[in-house]
Amino acid sequence: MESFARTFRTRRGIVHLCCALLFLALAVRLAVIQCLNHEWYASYAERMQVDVVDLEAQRGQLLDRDGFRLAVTTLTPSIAVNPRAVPEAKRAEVARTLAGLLKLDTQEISDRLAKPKYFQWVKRHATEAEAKAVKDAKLPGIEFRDEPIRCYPNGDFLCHVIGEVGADGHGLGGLEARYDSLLSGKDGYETIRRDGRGRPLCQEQEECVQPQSGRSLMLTIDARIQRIAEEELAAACEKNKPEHATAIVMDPWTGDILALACWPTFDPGQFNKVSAEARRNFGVEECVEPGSSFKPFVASAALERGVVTPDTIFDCHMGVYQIGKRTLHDAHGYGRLSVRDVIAYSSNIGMAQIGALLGADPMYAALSGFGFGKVTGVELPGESSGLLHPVRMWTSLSISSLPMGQEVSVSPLQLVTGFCVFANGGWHVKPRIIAGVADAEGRRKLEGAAPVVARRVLSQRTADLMCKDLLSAVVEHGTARAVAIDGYALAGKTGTAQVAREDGRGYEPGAYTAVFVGIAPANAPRYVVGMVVRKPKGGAYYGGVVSAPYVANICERTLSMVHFPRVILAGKQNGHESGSAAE
Amino acid sequence: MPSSHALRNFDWLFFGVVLAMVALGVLFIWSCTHWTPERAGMAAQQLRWFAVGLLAMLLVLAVDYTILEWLAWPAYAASLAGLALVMVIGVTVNNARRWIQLPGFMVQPSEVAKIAVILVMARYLMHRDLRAWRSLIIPLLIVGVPMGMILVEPDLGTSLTLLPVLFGMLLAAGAPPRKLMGLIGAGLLAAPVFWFFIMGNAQKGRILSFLWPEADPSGTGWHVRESLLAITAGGVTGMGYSSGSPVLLNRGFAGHTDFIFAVIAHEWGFVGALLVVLLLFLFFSRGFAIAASTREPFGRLVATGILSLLAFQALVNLCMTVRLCPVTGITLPFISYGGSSLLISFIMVGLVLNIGLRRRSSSIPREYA
Repeated sequence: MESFARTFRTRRGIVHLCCALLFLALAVRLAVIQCLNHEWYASYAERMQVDVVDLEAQRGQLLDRDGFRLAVTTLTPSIAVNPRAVPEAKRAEVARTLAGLLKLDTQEISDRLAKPKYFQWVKRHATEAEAKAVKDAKLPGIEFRDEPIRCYPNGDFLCHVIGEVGADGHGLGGLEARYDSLLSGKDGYETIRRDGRGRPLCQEQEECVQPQSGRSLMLTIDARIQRIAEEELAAACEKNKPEHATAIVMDPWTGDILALACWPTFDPGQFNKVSAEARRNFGVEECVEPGSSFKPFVASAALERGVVTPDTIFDCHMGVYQIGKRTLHDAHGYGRLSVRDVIAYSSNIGMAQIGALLGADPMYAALSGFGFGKVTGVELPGESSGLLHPVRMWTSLSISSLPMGQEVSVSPLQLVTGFCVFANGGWHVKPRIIAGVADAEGRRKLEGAAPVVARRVLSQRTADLMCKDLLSAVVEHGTARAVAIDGYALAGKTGTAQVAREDGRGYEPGAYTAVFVGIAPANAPRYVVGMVVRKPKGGAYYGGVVSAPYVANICERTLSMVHFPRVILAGKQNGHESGSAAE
Repeated sequence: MPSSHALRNFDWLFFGVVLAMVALGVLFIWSCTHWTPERAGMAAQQLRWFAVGLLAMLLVLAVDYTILEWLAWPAYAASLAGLALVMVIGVTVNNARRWIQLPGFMVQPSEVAKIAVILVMARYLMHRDLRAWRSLIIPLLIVGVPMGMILVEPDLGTSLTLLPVLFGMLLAAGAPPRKLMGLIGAGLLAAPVFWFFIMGNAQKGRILSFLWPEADPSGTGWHVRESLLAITAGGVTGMGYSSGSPVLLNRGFAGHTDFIFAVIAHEWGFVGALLVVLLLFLFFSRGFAIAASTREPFGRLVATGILSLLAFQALVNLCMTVRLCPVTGITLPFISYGGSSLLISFIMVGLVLNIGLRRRSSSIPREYA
């Protein structure tokens, strides 16, 4: 039995050794394939390369204040192919057929078919007819996906506000760019992988992320008023052939921008056909010297402080007046004018004297109170702040330049916002263009934005005085008397500014900016309408001729559209005292 | 019950290695099944089976194993009857009749037969002179009859696990190595007979796909290739636990059963693979040490048979995942998902621990001690 035990011990040792050797061999094998074998790894990595397909989120819409669709997203059929499902023998044929049906390059398609992938685009955003033709061709491996694409059903309507969307589906300009993240939502993706036998694997949740639709924006724009503004602006530009022009309609009580039209227009769907310059929103991005249209702001400050009354008389020296080294001219010579008539006839000499009475610091305080020199904060990209120098940077000429709208630059929107103060009884409202946010389909409003009343700038008395007396006088018998509307009282102010040279030295000869800002109806203001026409080349250049008639048309058409009651005042006709309007 | 004196002989290291392997198994069963809804509960199920296995092991430990000397032949007869019954009323799963439906659960007589063969072999071989050729005939029959019955189920993997039992136990019982070599040689000569008359197409396919895996990209060859890719991709430190790589997520891939080693090697890399190899090596080293620690021949032979069987299973399973041997459908003991396999494995562990617990210093039969 001892020998048996010894035999067992020896044999156990041998078996143990063999066992150890086998495990060692296994470990070596593992070390070789796991630590040294890189070729295998490369082939594995290739297999790991799964196809990831982006799923574009549906972009939200842009709607006007009543839900009228301005920019929408529709689905177009996109055509894709699973190259691994196309037998090698049929590749050339499939490529040829696809190229023929979709008018694409045969070589490019066969290159895509040769890739060891499960998913390749053939043509994105194809037409329905193309998709149907491909479907009917019954080719192997063809897949269809509906992809969203941006559409502007109204063409160039409101184009400068809406902006445009690039090929990647993200906004490049206007509100499309400013609110891109809100509109575009969150893109998803889908991972496509198959098992060793080529069957599609189940889509795990980690492998497929559904896109989240964007939100829609509701604008304060009223499409009907916008249409009127665009038509009238186009008419004005047709006649006067300016470099560019803008028209803005605001609700003075809320700051809502009801229309913002720029000329020339472009089609956001084909935005790359025009220059980036032409896509600028002139209404907020560019600044002009306001010229005489700036006079009411200084005048109202003088009235507010009690320096003058509407009936204070100034000697206008028959159109030529020397202040210090500077000689001022009026377009028409006037003798003694009340403050009311200084505004109505737009006398530079009178305004210079009012400005001198008011003083530099109160003038600056009042003008910055109207919001000049800083951005209004409207929800549009690239807003310009304009230029209003602080008093310490003023020259000896500034005190007489500013009252007549020189040495200052304002954006058209700032100008119109300033006139809202006269219309709404003295409040500076923040202009706004976003009324709220709705769901992707634009059916349900999710949140609204409340209008912001920034601050009181003028007393009710002064504001009413401006609107119902001084600015009404401009239309009743002043520089804009040609544009009075039947049944609606119109107030406003003309402006004809020389265009400052780009090098800052003086003014361009023969280049003007024609401005008119109107308040309608003057007795119960509903709309403030401004039109700024830059460098008209049609002969006329006065604001009262180039801009005012079209502003008056916008006011009349808008008021009659909303059935605002007309008031026919018997016997009150516009005076016809002198020839052409003076600035 | 074992006395406190006997408890000192309890091999904690051996038992600890087993627990570590089960833990590793549950961890990686979860890792590759929690992604797919219909497999989601498998890790928890494995834990429940572990509890059952532990209970069975304690029951086995409670009684002195020498009682099995008397139970060996009845158990063998019962398992032969079971195997015969399977041919008649067996439940067919995946084209193979391996199961008998009992009220409440299913049993696999071939699993029971593994233990019965080991017990009967030990009972027969103890105190027997094996130097003559004819003394090998009875052991050959003891193993051969159930092997043949399992082979026709068909279950090539399980029937093959009886071969190491035969040779391991004969070797341990003192059979001359030259004669064993002769037996193996005869077996190899008979291989063509097996190939043409006994093996089914499925088994032939497995061997063919082992030799030329590219010829069979959809069946077992695909499995081995995926497994090898996954192991290779694991690299030294692995892709990370539960990294959910596409191969292992594939529903067709038996990551939780036969190829769980590929999952471990993929996610924990060479480090994890080496851990498994080391655990298994430690298991067999301790197991053979237990077998050597007793001088009582029955226990020593039973332990040898059990360890031969488990070692063969583990080695074949690991080798097949790294393409060192054909796919046989043998699972990795303690680690792979599967209830009856785990239960039988724990009963075997109980037996080995029992033998170590009640080790005896004399080879003289108790009757004469």
